[in-house]
Amino acid sequence: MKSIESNSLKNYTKRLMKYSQYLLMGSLWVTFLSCETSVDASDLLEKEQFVVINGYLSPQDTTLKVQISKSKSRAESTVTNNVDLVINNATVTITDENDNQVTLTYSNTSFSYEVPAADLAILPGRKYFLAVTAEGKEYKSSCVIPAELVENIESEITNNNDVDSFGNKKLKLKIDDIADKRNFYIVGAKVTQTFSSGEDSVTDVDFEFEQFTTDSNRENSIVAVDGIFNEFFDSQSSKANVQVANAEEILYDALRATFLNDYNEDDPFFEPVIAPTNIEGENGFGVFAGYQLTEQEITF
Amino acid sequence: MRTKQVILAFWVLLVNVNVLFSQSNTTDSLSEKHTISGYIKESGSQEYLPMVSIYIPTSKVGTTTNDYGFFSLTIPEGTHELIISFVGYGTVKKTIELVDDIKLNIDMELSTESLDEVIIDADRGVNESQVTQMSVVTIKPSEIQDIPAILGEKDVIKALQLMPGIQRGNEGSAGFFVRGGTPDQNLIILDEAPVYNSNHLFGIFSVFNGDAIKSIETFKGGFPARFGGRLSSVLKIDTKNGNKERLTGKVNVGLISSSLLLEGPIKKGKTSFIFSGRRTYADLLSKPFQSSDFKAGFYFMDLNFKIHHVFNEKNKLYWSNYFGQDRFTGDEKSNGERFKTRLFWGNITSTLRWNHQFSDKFFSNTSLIFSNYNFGLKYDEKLNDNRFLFKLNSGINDYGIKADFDYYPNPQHSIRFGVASTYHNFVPKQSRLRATDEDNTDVKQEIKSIESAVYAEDNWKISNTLSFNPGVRVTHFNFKSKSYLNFEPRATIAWNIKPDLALKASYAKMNQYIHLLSNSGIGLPTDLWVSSTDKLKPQVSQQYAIGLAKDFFEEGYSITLEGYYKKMDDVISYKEGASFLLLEDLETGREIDWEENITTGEGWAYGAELLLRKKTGKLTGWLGYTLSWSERQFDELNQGRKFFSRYDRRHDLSLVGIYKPNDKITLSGSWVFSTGNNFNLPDREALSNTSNFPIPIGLFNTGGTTSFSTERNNFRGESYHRFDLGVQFHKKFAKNRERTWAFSVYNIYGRKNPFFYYFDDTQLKKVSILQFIPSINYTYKF
Repeated sequence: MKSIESNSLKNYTKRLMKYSQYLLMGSLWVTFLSCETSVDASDLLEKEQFVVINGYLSPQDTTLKVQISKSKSRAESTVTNNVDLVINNATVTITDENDNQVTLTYSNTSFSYEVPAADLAILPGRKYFLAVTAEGKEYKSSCVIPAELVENIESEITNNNDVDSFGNKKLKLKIDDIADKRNFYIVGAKVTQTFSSGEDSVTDVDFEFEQFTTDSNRENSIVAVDGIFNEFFDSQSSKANVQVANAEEILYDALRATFLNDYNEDDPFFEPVIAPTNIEGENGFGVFAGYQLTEQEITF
Repeated sequence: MRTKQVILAFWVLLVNVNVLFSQSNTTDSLSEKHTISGYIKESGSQEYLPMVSIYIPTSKVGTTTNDYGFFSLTIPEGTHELIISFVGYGTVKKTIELVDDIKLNIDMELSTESLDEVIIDADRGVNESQVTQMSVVTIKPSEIQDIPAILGEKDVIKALQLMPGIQRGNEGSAGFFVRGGTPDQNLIILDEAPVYNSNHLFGIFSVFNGDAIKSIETFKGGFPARFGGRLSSVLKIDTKNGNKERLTGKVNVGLISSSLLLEGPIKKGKTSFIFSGRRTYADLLSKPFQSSDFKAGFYFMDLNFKIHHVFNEKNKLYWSNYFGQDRFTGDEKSNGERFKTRLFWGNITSTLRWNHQFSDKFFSNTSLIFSNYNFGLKYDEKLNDNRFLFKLNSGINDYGIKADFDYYPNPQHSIRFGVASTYHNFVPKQSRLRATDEDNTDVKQEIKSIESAVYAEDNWKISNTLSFNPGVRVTHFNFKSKSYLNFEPRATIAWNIKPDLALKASYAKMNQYIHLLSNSGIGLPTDLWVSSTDKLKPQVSQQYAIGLAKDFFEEGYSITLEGYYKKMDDVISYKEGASFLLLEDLETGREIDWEENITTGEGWAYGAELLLRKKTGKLTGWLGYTLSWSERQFDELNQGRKFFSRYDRRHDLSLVGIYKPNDKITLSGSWVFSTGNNFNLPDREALSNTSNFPIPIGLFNTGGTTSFSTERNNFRGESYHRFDLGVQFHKKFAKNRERTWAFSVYNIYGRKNPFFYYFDDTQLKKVSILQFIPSINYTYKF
């Protein structure tokens, strides 16, 4: 089957789907004089605070990082600076199956606990254990690094004729599925365009929902995803750095939850996705997980 | 487990049949018996009346008419006084000398409830304490006309939402939730045809326009075996047959819609028709005020059309049709460009029924049933010489056949049995794309399945104080090579501690083979009906209920108190983040398996309901209270932990009053109070989980903070309450003509009930709709 103008089609479909919501909202607003009031949320919202721990390991890492922060209520206006949420006095260790252990130290630049990857070998198929002491409580978790990574990615750049989408170029990726396993892929690409002045412009390719893709129903075949970007008319040379991560399911689900919740933030009828957690310990939340990253550079 | 159920079901049948025959043999030997049978009709219109009581006080035996007004009573010969009564009609007393089987057709006069003193008859036999059935709510179409309604649109489902155990969803929604179930677990049948989408305008109005309706019955539990296919409720709506004597009608003009009802004889006494239509007209009124570059409109409409023909006393035909549609249109034009958008959804049902009376004890009804639900959108773009046309449809077509038999061997037994089969043709997606210089793309997904059932039930009056209604339904579902066979035992027992006080208990097992995929929670038409498949098992529920029913005959009150426990298995839900939009890969047209996007789990619903009701007199109405819990558990949702369902409400109270001091005025009011709904509200914030991942997530995620919640339905909204008030002024003219002016105000004290919540920076905001909505209606009957 010849590929149709998928992005324009997606846009039209979404537009039409949105119509139903606009129509609903419109009818309610216009006909029934809706009103909006601020609610004193102090009694309605839960007050307990969570220790949020996120750490992702990959054999391709140069630095192992774990970020630890505390949560705040969204109705709380006293904490205004994000840095205030960081917990910087925790103790963080990662141990492998052979009891090799590294202690991560806090970095003021990344707001994370770090250790050079050379200090602990992150190996495909191996299990790693995280132990954190923060706010006087202990938290632990573990992850398994996916055994394989994506070996082959085919890229193609074409014109995007859909006037409604934000971008005149389309990046089509064809990923060879890792055989005989259920895989969870996270896709991204950065396009660097160089101008005659010597300046560079770096933009991210927008894969929208296709940034997260599984091999569901296409086991051992090609996983195809499309993204949109804008090529400037005066760019002299362009290159794209394509990234495909084969992630543990929990990592895929957690990042996808963030993506979907952000994407639908303005839709009052969207059911927010509850991100998974594998952090054990009182009021612990977050994900400690493994992935493997494949990168490929293309010029066009 | 299944073997036990089969044994239980057969045991129930065996015992029942055994006792039935032994009893009839014994009694037969004592005295000669004869059968009185016939039809009860409304005087004037010749409309058959269901649920009419025919009672013989001296021998304390009686029966009620079936859905088609038929009754049969076999009693010893001799002189008997029959009392025929039905709420809202003048009681008929008739003395008969019974020496042989006789036919008895009776016409009942409609009584003006407000003026005539309705005879309160303790022996009526249809009072709450005197019927075996429990967990059933009946509401008369005339009550629906009296209850104040939003924008004056009288609505069956909105009225039912005021009953205990039947809850509304979000503010203004006509979706309903019965005993902790979901809207797709309600079987809605209109003249035997299932109705898949009962909503107009995203659930603000229901598709049932009250004008053509004859009777409404809702079963919340203790389901008779003749019903099946859904877990939580059966809403049975039957339409009128049409006046067989003279042409009558009704015109109603309201703020947002107008309706017309016309009924009359095609051949006097033999053939009648009824037609009713309703249409909103905001689109027509706004058209002149819209610019020529952009025109948008919305309307919904309902049409009911029915023909009833009496071949002879024993053979009757009914052909009922319903067509309803919501339609949104948008047209844009600019500089050689043209965009046309259409969104439409609606139901079509058609039922052909044949009543056949085999004998004076044996009655049958055979139905051919068609039901269709279709949701579609169309986008047509023309830009210079380029054309882009995209159509998307989803829907379901049902073709069914059903035969029901009623057998009345003696006053102790009313046996019903039957068989039904439905061919379901689901189209989860059908799309068509035409674009200049592109290949045509047509995609159609279809799921075909056959659902069949056989059932038998008996309403067995064991003694004057004990009655038992056992039943069994055997259901079969076939999808490709996969078949499901399930036994559904049902039983209700009622014990009259006193003549006006009954203790009742019931058990019902139900299977549901078709499912609604919905994640909007508000009944958007994009919600998708799908079938059980080889991977997706049917949903199953078992419900236990116990209750007390007490009548206060002198005062005209009844009170029922019921407790229930319902366990549901294999209930479905979308997985986290799945939605209709993500079910397809549009680029390749390849089907992404919808089964991959759903997950199955368990549900628990339990609670207690109290209904104090006054059905007769100048002041009628009820007080309903529900205390309930509704929980769910899915391995793949909420980290596998149990959570409260969205419409889990601890308390739900409704108070409804209708006062008719004379025949010129009707005053009505209703007050409702309920615990707030549950919302999924990401109410916490922490550093973004995307910041240390090498691939940027989304374009707009700045990596600052992420808002999140850790529990599904984590936020309980504020409690809900409102007061509605209505007044109607009637004026009667010659030849039964009448005009009514109706005024009503919805949410008269302007309570800002939560519709949804969202965060705006650090402030939690509540959006409220439907505050103080006045309306005016004019009705003319002729």
